[in-house]
Amino acid sequence: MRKAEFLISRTGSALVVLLGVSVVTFVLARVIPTNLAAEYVGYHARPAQIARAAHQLGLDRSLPVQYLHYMNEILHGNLGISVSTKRPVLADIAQRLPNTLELLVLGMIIAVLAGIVLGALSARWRGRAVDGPLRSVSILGVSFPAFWLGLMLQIVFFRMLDWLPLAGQSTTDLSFTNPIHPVTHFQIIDAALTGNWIAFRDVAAHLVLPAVTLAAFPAGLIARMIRASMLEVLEHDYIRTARAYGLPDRLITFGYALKNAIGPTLAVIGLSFAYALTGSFFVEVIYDWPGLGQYTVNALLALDYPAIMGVTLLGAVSYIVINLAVDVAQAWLDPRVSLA
Amino acid sequence: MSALPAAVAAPDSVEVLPPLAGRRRIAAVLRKDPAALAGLTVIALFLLVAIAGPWIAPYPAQGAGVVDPNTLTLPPSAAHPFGTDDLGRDLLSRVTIGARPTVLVPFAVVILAVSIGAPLGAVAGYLGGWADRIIMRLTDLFLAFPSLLLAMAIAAALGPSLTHAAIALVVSWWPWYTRLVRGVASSLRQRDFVEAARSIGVTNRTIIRRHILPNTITPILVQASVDLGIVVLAMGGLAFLGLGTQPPGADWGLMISEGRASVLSFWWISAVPGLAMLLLVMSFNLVGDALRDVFDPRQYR
Repeated sequence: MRKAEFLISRTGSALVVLLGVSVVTFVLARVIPTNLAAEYVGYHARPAQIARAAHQLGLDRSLPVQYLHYMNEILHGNLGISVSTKRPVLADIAQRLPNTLELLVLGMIIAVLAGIVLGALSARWRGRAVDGPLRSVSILGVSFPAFWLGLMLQIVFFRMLDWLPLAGQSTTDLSFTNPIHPVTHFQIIDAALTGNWIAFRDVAAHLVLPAVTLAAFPAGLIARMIRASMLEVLEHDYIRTARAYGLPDRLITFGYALKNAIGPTLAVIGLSFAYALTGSFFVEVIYDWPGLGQYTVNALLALDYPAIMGVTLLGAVSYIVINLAVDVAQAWLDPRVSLA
Repeated sequence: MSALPAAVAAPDSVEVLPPLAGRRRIAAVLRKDPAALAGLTVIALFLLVAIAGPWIAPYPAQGAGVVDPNTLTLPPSAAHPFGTDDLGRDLLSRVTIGARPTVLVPFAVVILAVSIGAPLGAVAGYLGGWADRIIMRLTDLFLAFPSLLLAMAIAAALGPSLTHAAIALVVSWWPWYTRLVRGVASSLRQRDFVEAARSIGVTNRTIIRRHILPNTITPILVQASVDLGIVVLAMGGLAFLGLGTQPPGADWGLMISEGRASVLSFWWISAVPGLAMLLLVMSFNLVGDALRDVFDPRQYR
């Protein structure tokens, strides 16, 4: 039952880190040089009105008291009111999260598939003529500034070829001609579920460029890791045995070697999900995607501190959860991974 | 017990070489690998441009931001090899002047992150016990945020400027080096030469300075060469979002964002600084890959 113990101790330390994260987020938000109370009541308010707002927001109390209040509110699911949108931060997040997840999941599917194919092919033909170009592609992938790649793809696929839409999540008049009925709040899934194929095609076309831009970095990362891992596996005795039996090369590479090479790369796949999370800031800004990345950037630029606190906390929580999940998955898949 | 997956954390046993042999091996690797050598050449070239910027730019004033209404959005030509931007400024000059914040500042960021992170890691790994626990808990805390998100939040809180962006990146980058150096230091602790030094009464402070830290230089160099590329991208990203260098200053990330509004008509305004950034990051990755091949062959090959 060491696995259960491991799970409990890892979750425990993740909770401790989370508590620390909440302190850092809180302190960070207090460094921001704005008069929050004045922001709420508007800049033409009288000093007395500002003071009253400060009292209502609890800003006149000591910092530790404010922190406890803040934690209490969080535990009750209240992340505060955004200064720019004047809506609860949690509602803003809930509205935008599905859009970002849609992008992230599709981007990661592309990245994992492309990364595995690139890496496996490059390992199979190591040192041959195709290995060079394949490796160059994966190095390019991890070297692109995401915000620049997005612009260049727009020039090529919108301006020059006119194959794909420029930006946004759907064509503007789609909500009048073929509105998507919300079921899961994931646009593309809802369009498919309700059989709204015109909307489906439109939404899918809008997804392609952002997802590809987002996938470039993780795809390169995964390709490099898979290649290294496969080269190591291909040295093993059981691969030589399989070759000696005359099994087809394709079966050995993709059936035996690849299967064992994926395990060690799980951590990198988890890590690249976290990279994609920060990559979404740039991708959503470039493609005007109504998701959390764009919301975060707008909040940062407007110094909308309740929103900043909310998204920073959410970012840290998802990062911790991803890492925890990777650790647990690895321990489960590979008995040799130490459960210390 | 950390917040990161085991494979991302620093390995427990890093190959430890005598410092000089390590550095000689780095030189040997770079000589033999043509891709890495090309990368190193590009980096050296960009460094030269960054230092000599104001003297070699064809239109130094425009590079620094002076507008010329007679040369708006000219495509690349003999007079302006990279074209001009929508304020009539020569892009070659802008890229040349912009090399300073884009190329030099990431070096400063990584050096500062190392000089904060490495000593902390050496202390944690060598002393162990309470010092180790406190330092590593602090490290875990910073590593719990996606680095770029933390940097963005700090940069926004301090107010947008190049210096603040650099500070923000140092704050979110040092823990990676603490983690790396701690792994090396704790494996060095058991080694004979350290035991010997301790047994003749050398103080902990001297052991860390004379025996532990010099032996961490090679793994730090390998890590730093890869990190430099990532820091260039992060700095560029901050500048692109308006959290770094402010207009009319030149910075490749900022220039990409300045060209964005008219990118569909005048592609070169964004394309040129982006290409320069891509070339720089690729060079760091090529050098980093070659170094990692030799010193950490179990990682990416």
